[in-house]
Amino acid sequence: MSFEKLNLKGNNQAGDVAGKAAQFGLTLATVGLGFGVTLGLMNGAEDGHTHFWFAYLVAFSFLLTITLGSMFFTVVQHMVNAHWSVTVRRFAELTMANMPMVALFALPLLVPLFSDDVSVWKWATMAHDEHGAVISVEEAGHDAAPVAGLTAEASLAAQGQHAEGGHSKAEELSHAEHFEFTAHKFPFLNRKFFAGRLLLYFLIWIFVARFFFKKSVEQDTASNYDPTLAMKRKAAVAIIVFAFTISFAAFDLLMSLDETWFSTIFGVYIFAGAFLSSVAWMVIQAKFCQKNGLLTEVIHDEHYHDLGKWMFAFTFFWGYIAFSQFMLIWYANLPEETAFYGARLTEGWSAWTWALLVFHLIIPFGGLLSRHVKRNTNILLGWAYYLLIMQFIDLYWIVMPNYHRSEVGFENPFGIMEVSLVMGMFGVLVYGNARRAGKQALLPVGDPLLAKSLRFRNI
Amino acid sequence: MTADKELYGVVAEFTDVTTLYRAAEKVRDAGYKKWDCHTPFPVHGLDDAMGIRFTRLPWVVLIMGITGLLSGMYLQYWTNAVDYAFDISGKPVWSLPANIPVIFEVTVLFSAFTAFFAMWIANRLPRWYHPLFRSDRFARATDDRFFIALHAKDKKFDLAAATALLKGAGAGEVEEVYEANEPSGMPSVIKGNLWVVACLMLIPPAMVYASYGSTTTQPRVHLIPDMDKQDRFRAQGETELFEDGRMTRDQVAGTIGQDQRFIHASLETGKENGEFVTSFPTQIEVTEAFIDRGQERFEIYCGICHGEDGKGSGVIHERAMELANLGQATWVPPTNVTVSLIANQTDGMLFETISEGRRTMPGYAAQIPAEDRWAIIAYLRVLQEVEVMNALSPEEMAALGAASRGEILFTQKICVGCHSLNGVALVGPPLNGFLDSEIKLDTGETIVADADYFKESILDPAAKIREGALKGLMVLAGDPLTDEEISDLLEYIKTQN
Amino acid sequence: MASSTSVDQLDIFPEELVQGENDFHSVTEMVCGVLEAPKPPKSWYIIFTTAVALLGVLGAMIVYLITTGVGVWGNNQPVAWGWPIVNFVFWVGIGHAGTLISAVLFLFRQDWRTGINRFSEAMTIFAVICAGMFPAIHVGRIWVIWWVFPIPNQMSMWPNFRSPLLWDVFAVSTYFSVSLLFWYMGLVPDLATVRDRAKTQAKKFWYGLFSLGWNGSNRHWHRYERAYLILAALATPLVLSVHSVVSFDFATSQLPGWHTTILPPYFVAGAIFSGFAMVLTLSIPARKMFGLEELITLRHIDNMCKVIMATGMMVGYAYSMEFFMAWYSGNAYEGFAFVNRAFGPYWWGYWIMISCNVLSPQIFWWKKARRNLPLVFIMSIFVNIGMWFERFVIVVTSLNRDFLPSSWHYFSPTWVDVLTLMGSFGLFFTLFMLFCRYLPQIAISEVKNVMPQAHPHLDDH
Repeated sequence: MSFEKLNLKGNNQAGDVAGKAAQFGLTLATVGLGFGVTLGLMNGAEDGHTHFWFAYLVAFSFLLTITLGSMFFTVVQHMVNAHWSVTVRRFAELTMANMPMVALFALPLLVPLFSDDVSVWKWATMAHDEHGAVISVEEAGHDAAPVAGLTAEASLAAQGQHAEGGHSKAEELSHAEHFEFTAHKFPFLNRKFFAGRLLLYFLIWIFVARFFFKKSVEQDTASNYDPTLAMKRKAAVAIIVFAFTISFAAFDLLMSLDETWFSTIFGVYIFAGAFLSSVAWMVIQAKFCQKNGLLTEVIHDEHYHDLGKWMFAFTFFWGYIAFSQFMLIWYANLPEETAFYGARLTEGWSAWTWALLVFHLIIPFGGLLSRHVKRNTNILLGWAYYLLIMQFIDLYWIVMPNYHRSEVGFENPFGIMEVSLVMGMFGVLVYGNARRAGKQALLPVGDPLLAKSLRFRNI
Repeated sequence: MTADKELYGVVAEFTDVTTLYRAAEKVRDAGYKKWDCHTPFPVHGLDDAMGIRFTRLPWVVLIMGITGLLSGMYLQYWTNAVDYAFDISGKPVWSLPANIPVIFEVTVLFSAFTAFFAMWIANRLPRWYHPLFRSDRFARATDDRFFIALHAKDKKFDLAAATALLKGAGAGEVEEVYEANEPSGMPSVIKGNLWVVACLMLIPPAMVYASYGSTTTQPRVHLIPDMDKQDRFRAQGETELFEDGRMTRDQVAGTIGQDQRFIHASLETGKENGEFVTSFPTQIEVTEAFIDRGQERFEIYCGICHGEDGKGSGVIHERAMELANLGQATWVPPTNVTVSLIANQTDGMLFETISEGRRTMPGYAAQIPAEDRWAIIAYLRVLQEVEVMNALSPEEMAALGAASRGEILFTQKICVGCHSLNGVALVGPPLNGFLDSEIKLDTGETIVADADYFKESILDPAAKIREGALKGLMVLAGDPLTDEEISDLLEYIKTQN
Repeated sequence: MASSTSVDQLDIFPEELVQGENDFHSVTEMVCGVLEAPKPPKSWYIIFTTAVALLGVLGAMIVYLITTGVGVWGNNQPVAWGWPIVNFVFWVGIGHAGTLISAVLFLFRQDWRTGINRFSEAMTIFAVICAGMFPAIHVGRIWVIWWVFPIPNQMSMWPNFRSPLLWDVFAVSTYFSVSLLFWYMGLVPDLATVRDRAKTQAKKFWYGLFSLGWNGSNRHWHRYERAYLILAALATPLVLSVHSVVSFDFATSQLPGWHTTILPPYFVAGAIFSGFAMVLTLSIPARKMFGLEELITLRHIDNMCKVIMATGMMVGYAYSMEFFMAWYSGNAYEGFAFVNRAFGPYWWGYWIMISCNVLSPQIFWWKKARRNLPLVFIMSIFVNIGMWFERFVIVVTSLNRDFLPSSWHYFSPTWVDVLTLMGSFGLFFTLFMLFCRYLPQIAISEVKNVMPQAHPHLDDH
């Protein structure tokens, strides 16, 4: 078989629709972020707007995970020569191509990182003296690095803190212990290295995203399969790099919010949510295009069915990972680990935790089980929006209990600011995709597997 | 085939799937209902060509899956939380996270078995006999040929028309197939035997059920020699090894056992001639190292209740008071061992207390060797000395208010060992709000617990006993309190009302 | 790189799954030929005899164990879980590829699974038999092993469902039952094929009995395929759950080196890894021995190598995450456990594991290596060794350094341990050789289904 080009039916150029969508996205982004930032600036000046920065981190993680999930989706399709996904792959590509813009939205996070007034990553202020130098354990006046008995002492301290609602002798004790417990991480958790790592992650991601996006677009007009071959060759390495960067980014941005807590599965947990939400976002884009008369001849029920299967599978996978993490920590009942769930099962948060179980796992699992649901594109669209909301709730649940961690117990400050910020970030996502959507076809028209993708059927 | 009884139908052979597919469409469009295609593998799209309705199997599996889920949950709930409640370290007998894996497995098990068996049942299989098997050509239906069989039972069936239809659709050979003459069912003898076997198979489970929870006086059945059958010497048992046949032997003359040590009266009992010793036994040499040893032992064995400073607030006490305050436990608080009341006790008496226990405190003779008990006493004396050094001088005491003096006395005279001031009933009644309250005596008389009653009770605890209280429970150790001291105490108690 | 890439260079439309000039009938001939041949190849006799001899050794070891007690093994405090549990996890892991190939690859529409799925499902079942044997004999008093099941008994007691060891009982037995159903269901149409070709009465009877009267009706196929899809959809989370539950045995404890949250997915990846390695170890000689090279093609081997590489990377990812977290957590015990793993008394076990599991599969980056059969065979053996050592490292290095240094103990196996492990291979290969001889090794109907001539050529579609 030599090089061939398909004659595709239907309208596959975004045209005016992209402009309208971009307009909508920009409006949503401006209004949402503007309103959120205004609210944030109005309140909480006394603690350096810490609440706002937490809410911003949630919204930013929402944007980042969808972008990363899309990147994974694109690269893995090249790695395994998947044919079914070719007609919808451009949506994932458009999303991952937003990576430079996402990096731009990461810049504000340097404020809570480097400011002594804001307490988002608590180790940031702990790890530095007033000159900004990293404190080592010895310099901090503690006689030794963590000793064997420390774990138990710190655990006792943490327990005391829980039992007495954060106002006990045990807590005063815990500050000293806590410091020792954390201090040995300072070579890893300190401002400069953290910022350096973030920079490295984004450079890698931008490189990968740009490479796969450019090659894919190149293939649209190329007269041979050089670009596809190039992508195929790089895909496996890109996946390996992706696995490590997303894991460490998750450790850095989210897990280290509680500098004493750790879980080896955390990277996989974030990946599960990222992939799930990115597939949901693809369904939304596909359905949006078809409602506006685009791609009507190329995307059919079979593709929705497969996207639906992925949503279903990753709902289950997310549940599997979440359950594994919870059950193992619950069962072993080691205080330094249970603190994470302890905080999330206190009064203000237990409802969210249960909601996560019911609404992120049980309900979508039952809802997406049937093949009729997966083939009914309108219902599937509803589930896609639903799962995006769940991704936000999941991230909020991970991040926000760290706000006010020890000062006033574990209150849940959910409010209009969180919602408007995440809506704003969603607007950014829409804008980013729409802005680029008009510049090339809405599907990889030159892909050698496109013909197969148009033909395939589920059994 | 003249001997054959009845026409089953016609079967047509095809050599490729495309022709088969087209033929199937034609048969479907001709309005046949009772007919089938037979292929060596599932031909995709043929379901549509035949007009087969989508199977309801997934629904059956879903329902049985939910049944499995509930069964798995109920199985664990009933066995572990109801019928045989396992208490393991006080953990809840029913805690969902630990039960989810088994629930999941049972759900999958039910669903998978349903998918498997429901499929065979819906397909009416196993059915080892089929009229089509009588056609030799049909053997290739599991190899490389494709067949369409039109059943004679179909309303539209007409031999000539059916044959023509199939021929016209491109069939290679069309053959008539007849039912066998003989009845095809299982011989009734075998059937009957199978039923008997099936019934007999119910007996073992029935026996298990009948013996469930039953008891027996018979010894256990040992298929393989188990640990309670192994050779060993039992005390008071018989043996052929020795002439007298007794297993228990006398101690060999002139030897001592590992646990038989020379017992020195004052070292091991703290008493000499029935009296408590007032100094350390002669075997004990009190050095700094000895006191350090005592401190270490004290902190290990005594500190958990009495506190490492000896003042009675060890971690167990703290925890127990939390529970007592919640009304979840009763508690006898450990004594402050630094106060003069204890300091005035003889060394022998303290030794007896450590060895035998006092109040709810258990004896520690088994855990702490005698030398170490003496070492603890040596350290205890240090603690008491420190307390004396830290104590206020009489002038300083006089300079304090009456209530403050009372507060010190409340600890010194270990009132605090039985009476709380926050309403929690310990050994004695809580004393806040007690003054001037009405109490009922065991004589049936109701009196007001005024200052005189307090004084009388302190000096002679047995004078008036409250209803339900034990006579002689309240004791006053050490010297009797002076009037001044009693009034100071009263002042203090008043402030706690 | 070529200046202009044609679609052939992309390697995205791979070779046909059935090589050579084959039609439906010749596929039937090829597969059924193995079990219709009057005598199996000579190599079959050699392997079978060796396997039966080892099986005898296993039997002797079990009898010796039961009559004497578990003291005949090297297990002793603090290493109470010695080789028996290592072997259990090893065999259960191998038992994962079969259902994975059948179920997960089916859901992913990977047609190449048809050449090897029967094979690996059989392997699954035999491996799970070997696996299930070890905990059973490990309890010491095997005659009361039925206490693990919720059977009403004279003591009115029930098993403790909150114990991960009991989850194991449910997970492994469910997995075994479902795998058996899945395997048998796939076998039925092929048994019918054998039945219809059988020449002797005995074969007609036995193959006829187990083929349940299958007649290839499309109405049957319709429900059959739906049931197969459902079983595949059920088996996929089941595969995930079984090795996760096995990992829970370790991870729910508080033992440093065992208690880590990534253990469930890490065990699953490791299981798939070792399972595929075992499929390669078996299929490379078998395809030659029974002349099945046109059905188990180089493409199958190539794909399996890729899966091995991918899962090997996942396992490597888990190793590195564990190590990083051991440091990051600040838990001194955890940190010690991992340093002890790599540099303690069992350092050799750890580095065998790393070199076999993480380093050796890297050679599969090259297509030439993936298609070099002797090399692939050797690599698959390396992976098997590496995965056995992974379980050894997890079980033994974590246990041998107890919290109390006075309890530290260097575990060494006894000759009974070694012979029992070898004997379990005897059991496995005996069953496997019998399967090769008496049952269709390749899913005939499924292979036919992925041949190009199996699809109606309809112009309007």
